[in-house]
Order: sequence, then C-alpha cells, then structure tokens
Amino acid sequence: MHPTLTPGGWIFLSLAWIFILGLNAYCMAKLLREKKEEIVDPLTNPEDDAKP
Amino acid sequence: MAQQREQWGSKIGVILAVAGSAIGLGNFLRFPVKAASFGGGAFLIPYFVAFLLLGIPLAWMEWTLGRYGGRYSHGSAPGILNAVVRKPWAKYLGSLGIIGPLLINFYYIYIESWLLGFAWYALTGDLMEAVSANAVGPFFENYILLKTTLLHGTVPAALAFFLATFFLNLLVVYGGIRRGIERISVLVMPIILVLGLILLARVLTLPNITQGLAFMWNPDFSALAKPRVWLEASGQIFFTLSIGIGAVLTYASYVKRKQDVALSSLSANAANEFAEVILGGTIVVPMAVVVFGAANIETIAKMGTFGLGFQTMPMIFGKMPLPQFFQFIWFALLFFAGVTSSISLLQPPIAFFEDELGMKRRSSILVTGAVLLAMGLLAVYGLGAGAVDEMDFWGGTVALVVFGTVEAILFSWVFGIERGWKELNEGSQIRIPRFFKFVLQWVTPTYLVIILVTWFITDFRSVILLEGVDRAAQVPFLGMMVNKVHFITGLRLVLVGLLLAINAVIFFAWRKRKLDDKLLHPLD
Repeated sequence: MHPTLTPGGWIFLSLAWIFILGLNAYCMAKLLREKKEEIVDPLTNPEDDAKP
Repeated sequence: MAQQREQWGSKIGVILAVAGSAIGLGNFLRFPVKAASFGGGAFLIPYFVAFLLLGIPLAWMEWTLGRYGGRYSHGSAPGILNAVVRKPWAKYLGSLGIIGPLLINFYYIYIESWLLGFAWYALTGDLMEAVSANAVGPFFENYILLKTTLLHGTVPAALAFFLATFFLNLLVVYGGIRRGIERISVLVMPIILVLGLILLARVLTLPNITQGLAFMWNPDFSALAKPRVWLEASGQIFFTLSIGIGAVLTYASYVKRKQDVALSSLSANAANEFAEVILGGTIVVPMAVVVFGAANIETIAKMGTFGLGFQTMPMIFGKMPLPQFFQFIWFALLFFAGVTSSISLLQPPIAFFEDELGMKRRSSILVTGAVLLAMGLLAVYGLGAGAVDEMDFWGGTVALVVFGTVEAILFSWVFGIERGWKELNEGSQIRIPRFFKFVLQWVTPTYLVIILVTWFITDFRSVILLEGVDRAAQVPFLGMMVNKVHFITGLRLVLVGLLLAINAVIFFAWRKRKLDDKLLHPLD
C-alpha cells in the first residue's frame, strides 16, 4: 500500500484530468462558435447574373 | 404524410438532457469502486480505450439512428430500426430498446426515492442521530425494508418517498420534450455541477488527501494483464454513457432534421466523463480512505455501491464540520442526477405509444405509468427477495449489451457504413477523423460481439440455471416467506411475459397502420 501519491499516480491523475477538461473545453469552444447562416444578398449572387 | 413531432428548443437543451441521462449514481459510486478494485490509475487505460473505441462511436451511432428515425416520425427503437432496416423483423429487435429502459426504471425510481428520503432525513437531523449512535447501517436497512414509518406509523417512509418520486417523474415527462424534459435538464444540470464542485472543494481541502488519492490513482500495472479488468472497464463505459438503453436513440429523434449530432454527442459524453472521473473519482473513495484509513477500505468497498453511498458517506460527513449540510448536499446531488436519468428512461415507451399507436401523450403516460407502478411496487416489496438485483441484471446489464450490439451491427452492416458515415456527418460542427469510420465499421461491432460471446460462454448457463442460489433459501415477500428459486423463476416469467407483450403491441401497431393506410389510399 502506497502511503501517498507516487509519481505514477500523479501522472495518471493529471493526464486523466487534462484529457477530460481539454475535451470539455474543446466541445464548449465548438458549441459557442455556432455556424452562421450564410445569407447571400440576391443582388450580389453571381448565379443570378447567369440566369437569362 | 409524417405528422409534426415535438423538437428540442435548443442544442444546449438536448446536450444537457443526454448528459443528464448519462450522469447518475454510477458516476459517483460505481466508477470509483471499480477503479479502486481493478488497478487504480491503471484502470484508466482500458477505461479510456473503451471510451474511444466503444463509448464515443456507439453514442454517435445512436444519435445518428435516432435523428434518422425522427425524420420519419419514429421516436422509439422499434420504429427507428424499422425505418433504418426496412425489413419486417427489424421492429421486433427494437423491443429490446423498450424493455431495457422499462426494466431499469422498475427499480431505479425506487432507489432514486431513497435519495430523496435520505436528503429529507439529513435535513431533519434523523440521519445524523443514527450516525452519532453508530447505527446508520440499521437505519438504512429499516428504511429500505419498509420498517421506518411516517405520519404516526401509518405509512412506510420508503413507500411514501417512492410514490412522491414516481409522480414527480411522470409530471416532468407530462410536460413533454421541450417544456418538461428540456426545462428540468437545463435547471438541474447546473445544480448537479455546483453541488459536485462544493463536495470536490471539501475533499481537496481535507488533510492528508493525497493518501486518499493514492488509493484511487496509484497505478497497479499488473491489473492490465487480466482480461476481467478490460471487461469491467468496457462494462463501466457502457453503463455510464447510457448507451444501448434506447434513451439516447429516443432523445435524438427529437433533434431537428439537419442539426449537428456529432458534436452534441461528444459534448454530452465529455460532460459525463467530467462527472465520473473528476467528481466521482475524487469524492467517494479518497474521502473514505482519509476518514477511515486505508486498512478499512476493503471492508467498506465490500459493502457495495449502496453501502458506500447510503452508509459510509453519511458517516464520513458526520465526522466533519457542518455534517447535516454536507449529508444533504450529497443526497441532493445524487437525487438530481437520478431524476435526469429516470426521465430519460421513461421517454422511450411513451414515444412508442405516441408515435406507433397514435396515442395522446396523456394516455401514453397513463399506460407507461400503470406498468411502471405495478412493477415498481414489486421492486419495493420484493427487494428483500432479490427482485431489484434480478431486474438490474437483465435490464442494466444484459439488455444494454445485447441491444448495443444489435445497433452497432445494423448501423455498420445493414444500414451501411457509407450511408451511416454520411448521415453522421450531416450538419456536423466538427470534422470527425476518418479513423473513426474504420472504428464504427469494424472495431465497435467486434468489441461488442466479443463482450457478448465471452459473457455467454462464462456466465449464461450459471445465470439461467440459478447456480449458486441455495435451493432451500427462504426470502421475505409481501409479509410471507417464499422460496428464493421460485420467486426468481416467477419474476423471470413475468419479465418474459412483458417482453412478449411488447412484441405483440408492436405487431398490432404495424397491422393497424397497414389497415389505416389501406383506408386512406384504397387504390394503392
């Protein structure tokens, strides 16, 4: 029985926390950066110029 | 013509609802016991491997299949699998996605109600009195075996709290997806986070906490050579992410047609892992080690999940300043986590009655509630006879893995990986690495088949034949003593009957639809 955290214990604890906090931060950042609707002004839409 | 179905009000709403479904008692009690028993920090290696190769992919599959089914107005497993496979047999496989959540809720709401009861007793001080008298064990046993009463001895306390919890659950789902489930999830999930962080702060400021963390996190690499450790880690991932139950499938069916599912699923899983590894992995076992000493931890771990949650934790808080406050926070945290899980398990059968039989929400809830109440009372009165263990085994273990395997095979091999991959990526806000396409097609289904086959080979026979159960053992049920083998066999027959009844309803639902279609389009 180890009386206190060994270097191995610290490594596992830190890596697990970093992985999970990192994953949560990544998801949060992506969620906050919602895709903006691409609204194209009909007057500037190049496809409209091609129509007869 | 598909009828208009309810939809989630916001993306964050559905993420919190799915995260709420996943975050439950298992995060705070089951995970730390498993990790401490199977290698400490080293357990995290198979655990995260299973998270990447089993958990994340299967959750993506469920979200994708659910959104696809919702497009055709199907919100439960029979309808969704029928829409995906388009073969008559597929809908019957979906009965597993109805019986699974029902089976779990038969006992889960009862256990959830214990948390409400204990939160109440923490506030009144009765729990602290039991802790001071060193009698928290008998206090817990008297409560769950209906010996503790309320209202001058007229009503068993456990029954009263069970009924209160049961009707609270029905009330939430009665509000519907947006006004009931989404609203309660958006309200409760931040509360769970705050309560969890309060407890985390308390644990991390305990003297000698590194000793407690050592017990939980110091790696024992020899554990990695044992297949059981890998199996336990995979089982934990299955259990914790609420996959293979049918709840995620149903929740995803209410997602908008082209709304992202890849990021939403990943976000819900990430939130669940926060609650499990960071909160669950830090609070219970390290605290128990600090307060009782590492020498006693094995005895405590042997008390099982309920012993740890309902007896050890109140005793631990009883040795600290503000004991009643922290006891209340602990039980309130678990109760809220339980409610968000049980409402997610209520929704699949309700969606089935609404979508496939055209029933109104109120009628769907009445039918589901009636079945749930009858079987829930069986769990209440049959706890001492082993009813809860039996329901947990078939619902919380077998049905999950079997249905998860069915979903994985249908997604990758029947629906087709190309279609599945395209469907998953539609509207996605993240770019999923192509490596996961291979994982979805080969690794996840194979992984699941191995788990299932291993279980069949090692345990199936002994479970079916009730090996290890004393043939002469007598157990209490409804005030009588009955033979345990007879009781379990009878209960199993009831569960098989329920599964057959669900399949019969599926048969009649599709037959009715065919007749309705003929009446509407007689010349087709």
